[in-house]
Amino acid sequence: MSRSATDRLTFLKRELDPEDMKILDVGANPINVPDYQMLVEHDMCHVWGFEPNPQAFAELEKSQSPKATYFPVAIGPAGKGTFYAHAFAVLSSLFKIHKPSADFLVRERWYEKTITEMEMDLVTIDSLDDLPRVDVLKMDLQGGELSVMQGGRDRLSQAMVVIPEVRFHRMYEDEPLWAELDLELRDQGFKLHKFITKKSLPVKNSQWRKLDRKALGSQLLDGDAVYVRNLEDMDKISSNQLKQLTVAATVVFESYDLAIHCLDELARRGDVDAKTSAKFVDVLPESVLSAKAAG
Amino acid sequence: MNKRRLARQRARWLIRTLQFDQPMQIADIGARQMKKPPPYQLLLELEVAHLTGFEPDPEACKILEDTAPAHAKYINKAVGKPGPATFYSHHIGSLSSIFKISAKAARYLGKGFWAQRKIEEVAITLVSLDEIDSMPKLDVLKMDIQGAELDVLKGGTQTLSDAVMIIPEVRFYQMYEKEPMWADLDILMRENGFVLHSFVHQKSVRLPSRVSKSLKMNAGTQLLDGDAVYIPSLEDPDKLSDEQLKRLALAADVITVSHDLCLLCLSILVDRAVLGDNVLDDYLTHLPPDVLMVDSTDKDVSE
Repeated sequence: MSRSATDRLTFLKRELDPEDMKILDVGANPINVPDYQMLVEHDMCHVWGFEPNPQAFAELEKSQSPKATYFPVAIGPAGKGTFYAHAFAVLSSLFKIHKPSADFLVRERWYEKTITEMEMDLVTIDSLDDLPRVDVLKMDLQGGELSVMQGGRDRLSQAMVVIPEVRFHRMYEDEPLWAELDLELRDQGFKLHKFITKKSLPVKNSQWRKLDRKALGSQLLDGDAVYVRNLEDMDKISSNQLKQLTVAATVVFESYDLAIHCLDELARRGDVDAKTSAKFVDVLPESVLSAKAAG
Repeated sequence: MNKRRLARQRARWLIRTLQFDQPMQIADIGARQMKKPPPYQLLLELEVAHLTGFEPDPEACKILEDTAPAHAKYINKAVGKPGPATFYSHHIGSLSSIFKISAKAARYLGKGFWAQRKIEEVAITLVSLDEIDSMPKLDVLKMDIQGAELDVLKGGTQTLSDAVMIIPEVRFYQMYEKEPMWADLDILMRENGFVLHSFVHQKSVRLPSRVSKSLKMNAGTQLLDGDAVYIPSLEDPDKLSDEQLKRLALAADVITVSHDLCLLCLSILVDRAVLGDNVLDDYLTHLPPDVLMVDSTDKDVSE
């Protein structure tokens, strides 16, 4: 039997018949293919995005589809704010590069490149009338993640998954770090599930040209984390929420144990056939199967 | 030469080169013997460090005392917020804590057995690091005490004022009722001038389901806990003394295998004329070949 990602998604589409996943992507930059791309290709989601960078917004507009809605606004604490548009678009932020950090991490170019300050109006997620309550929030906005969460308590009240970029070592002046974001996420009922990526950099030293930077970076800088709604009280989770989490866990962040955990509960509720979990194992990659299941 | 022998040789060379005026002081709180030796083991073997270990479980403490290496002493006490407390003694010794296992969390994590067996409640008196008379100022602190790490930091301000490396166990998924989480600890560490450097270990568990045994154990995705490494912020190195930089250099090499961090400390010591210029090149000759640039004229082209 074939065990590709497409097989898994097709299987879940057939067995769960889920509603379109409502995905909120804050800081969508077209240079990165999003983790949920497969759901876009299979017409199984609607994406709401925001892009304050005019160039990046123009790119997004070109790929306009009926299942995507983009707004040229910046999300943040409501009111006026300064956006620091960076020559490296991925470094643009509502915060200013912290020079001592850039020096420590041998990234002088972080502040040597052109940074254009733009005054803009910032809005909160909850102030947008056209935005529904979403299932999944993905965000990568260089320090602005905390204010997104704080201004989205209503639109995120049913969400099952939040995928924030998290900072371990300060990179911008006054940016909230991972810990402050974690406190807010837990306060809203989410729990840290895992890290998808973690990035470490070498620290400044006089010998760095002689060292293999890939082998030697020891200082954690940032990463992408996955937070999942607290599942300790299953009764509080609707079947639609469980289906959305199953799909996201399977194709967005590949946590198959979590996906099966949800399928079991859906079977217990009679929403799916009792054999669904066992059949799902048949489409999982060989690499995650125990000897028992593989044999 | 294999990596372990090379690491040993490099540590010997560092110790000779750095010329410590006093032995390094390491404390290990929750020192119970585990399968793997502690990450500072080599520093004890090379007799450059003294260890003070704390273990509240009398049996586990006895085992440590009976097999103690030179310059190690063990204290049969629990460190935390000073005063009386309840110790939840678990039949799986490493799960004993001053916090109570959360039955709901244990169930979710597929570890229902954590909460099923009777957990013995023992009245104990906790001490803080600062109030122990014989406690030296610490260079390195390692803690694995199931949630009480935050209290140790709060009661150890004096003892830790010159510390160069703190390795707390940090919790990602709350498994004890009311235990502080990683975020709480991280905020306090940063207030004290430390930054997260790396993780030496992270543990994930496989979530339960009726077919969970079809998945490999290592296919588990739910983060539970890990050992994090904190170091003083080096954005302003003037705040660190020569001795602190020497100690951090050695700890960075031996404990976290962070050669770049070790080199940063050595570079600053060279700039201060504490060490000779040749030290940096000599250090490079002690590194495993796979971390060196094949051609050191290679340009760095990453973002």
